[in-house]
Amino acid sequence: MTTATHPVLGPLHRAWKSSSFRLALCFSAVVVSILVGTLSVYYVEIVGTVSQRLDDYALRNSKRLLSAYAQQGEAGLVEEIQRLVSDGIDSQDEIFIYQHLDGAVWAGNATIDLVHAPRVAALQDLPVEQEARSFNGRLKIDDLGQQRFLIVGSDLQALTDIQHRYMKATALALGLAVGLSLLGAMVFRRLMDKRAAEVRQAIRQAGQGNLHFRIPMNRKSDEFSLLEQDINQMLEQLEQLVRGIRHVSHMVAHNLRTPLNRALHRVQAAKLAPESLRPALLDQVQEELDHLQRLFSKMLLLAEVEAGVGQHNFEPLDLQQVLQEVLEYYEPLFSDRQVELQLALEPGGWVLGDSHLLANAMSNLLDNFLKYGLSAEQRCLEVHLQRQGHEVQLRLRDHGAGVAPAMLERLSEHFVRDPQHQQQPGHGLGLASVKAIVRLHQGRIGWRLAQPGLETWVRLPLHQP
Amino acid sequence: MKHILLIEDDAAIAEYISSNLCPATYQVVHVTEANSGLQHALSRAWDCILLDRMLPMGVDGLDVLKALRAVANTTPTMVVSALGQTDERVRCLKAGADDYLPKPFIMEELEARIEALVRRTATSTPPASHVLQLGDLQVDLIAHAVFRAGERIALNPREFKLLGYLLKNAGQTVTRTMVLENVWAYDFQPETNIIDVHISHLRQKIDVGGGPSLIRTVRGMGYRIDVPVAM
Repeated sequence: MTTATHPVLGPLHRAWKSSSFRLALCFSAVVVSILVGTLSVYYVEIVGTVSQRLDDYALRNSKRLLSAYAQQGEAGLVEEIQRLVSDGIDSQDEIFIYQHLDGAVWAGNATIDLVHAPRVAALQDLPVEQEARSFNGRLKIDDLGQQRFLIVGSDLQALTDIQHRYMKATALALGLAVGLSLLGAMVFRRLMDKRAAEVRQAIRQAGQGNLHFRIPMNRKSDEFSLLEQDINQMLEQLEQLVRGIRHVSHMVAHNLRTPLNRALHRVQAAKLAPESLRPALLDQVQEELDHLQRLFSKMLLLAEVEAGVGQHNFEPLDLQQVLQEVLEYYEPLFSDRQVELQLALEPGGWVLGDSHLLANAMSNLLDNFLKYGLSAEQRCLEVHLQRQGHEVQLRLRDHGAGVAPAMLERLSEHFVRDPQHQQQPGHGLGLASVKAIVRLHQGRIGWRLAQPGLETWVRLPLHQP
Repeated sequence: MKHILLIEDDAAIAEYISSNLCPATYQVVHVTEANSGLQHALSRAWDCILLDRMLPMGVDGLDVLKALRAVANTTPTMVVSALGQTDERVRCLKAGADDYLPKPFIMEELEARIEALVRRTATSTPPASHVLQLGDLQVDLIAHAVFRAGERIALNPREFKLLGYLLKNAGQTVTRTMVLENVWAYDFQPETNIIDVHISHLRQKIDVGGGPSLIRTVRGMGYRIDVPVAM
């Protein structure tokens, strides 16, 4: 029979696979070890003290009797023994024997087998005969010469009793401790299993695509509750991400299919149209395809920047220079549209970055300004570049219509456009790529309603060579 | 006759390029994979190599280019690739490419770039004179001065650079992307076609009122200046 199917070992083997069970068991092992240690100390203290008292008793009385023997000879010794035996103090336990090697006892309350007893000066535990009783005693044997011996000591029964009782109590305590530990480990495992099951259930559900599932929260604030909170939060974020991806894929489909559809219709129209109309229709097809290609390039750039591509091309560059070049590039357009530029550019705004990407981001912001930031009476764009602590801040403020306050947070989301701008050309990718580029440069971006107009701020970490 | 080596695994694209490059000017040899491409490239002198990135058997066209450059072969090479632009452009130029054209492209763009590449290599010797004459327009490339009928025209540095670039490529068409890449050295496509606005501002400064513009717009493609006369 293998361990796995053994009626007792089987469940234990299974339980052993549980880390909570092993943890509880290890903890119990520590508790039992401490218990064993404590009991050992008590044992040594109690048994040691009693044993020491017996030793002292034997040595003291042996010394006293030897002194009586030295002063008064054999008669004095016998008299003293008889007095001690009959004084009624400790008479149950004390042993006094004045005995010949052959076993003849001259005085005393017991007898021992001197022939087989090792005759050493130290205390020893030997069997003693007393009337009908035999027991072990702690004895000191003194050789008085001429095969006469003085044996003094006490009955070890009391000590043995204490030892037995102690051992029994210890065994019971340890048995109880081990039993309770096992039981505790099992209960602990059950509890952990139950809590873990809730977490596993949530993760299984998420794995099967059900991101709506949440672990029911309780009021506890233990590790599991914190873990459950984290998992719920993660599920929430995942759900939002998936929703975002769905939105993006719907928008990609919409944005790609619409021009494709128009191109397809025009190709069909061109096939049926008279020769003279064909070039114009084909031009329109090319326009649609060009439009598609631009959209595709934008999406590709956004995907690349969001994936962190281009970071290894970073080099120190002066943001003011990049900004001036981009502004200069837009200058003829600004002059055509009578844009009034108000520049406040502080030098020394060095950052670590890719000039193409940063120029691209600035160009996107300027494109947005030209599309949405101009009003009939106010055609002013304020551009500020300044160092702020460890950052370089670029601020662009227009005096246009601004955006709806609710849109402020969503401006940089993919394919999100302010409903009031839906009629104008665009896809809602410009600010998403600006944000991605700023993030790639470890920077931050934000918007503020300037009333009138919109203010965009970009902060990039200052590069200090 | 210019000899072009085309290393491209897509038969349709290869056919599109071969059949659309003017047969009177270009002779195109087409190979489909990297090994024979390298062998052909080294077998004779070419005016230009057109190189695709993703070739059969997982070979990157850049490896062919690196191998060429490693044996000091300096044939002008243009990488034509569908791979993303941000990073790949820099990688290709660093690996020794002379130009990079992302797919999809239109034939005119490719042809304009091939012309510019071939011409750049052919005219690497400095022009005999630093003053160019274009009708009654005189351009002094060293003094950065432009005169029309003897009268100086004030151009800002960027306008001069733009005019200089068009003059350098006089006699051939340059696309808007080529202008952006070469005059501004930036690689991005703003929503509005700002190059057109720049050209229009430049025209206002250099053209004689009423007469035809010196800078011709080539419809759907870019701009062109006719060959100037060196003085």
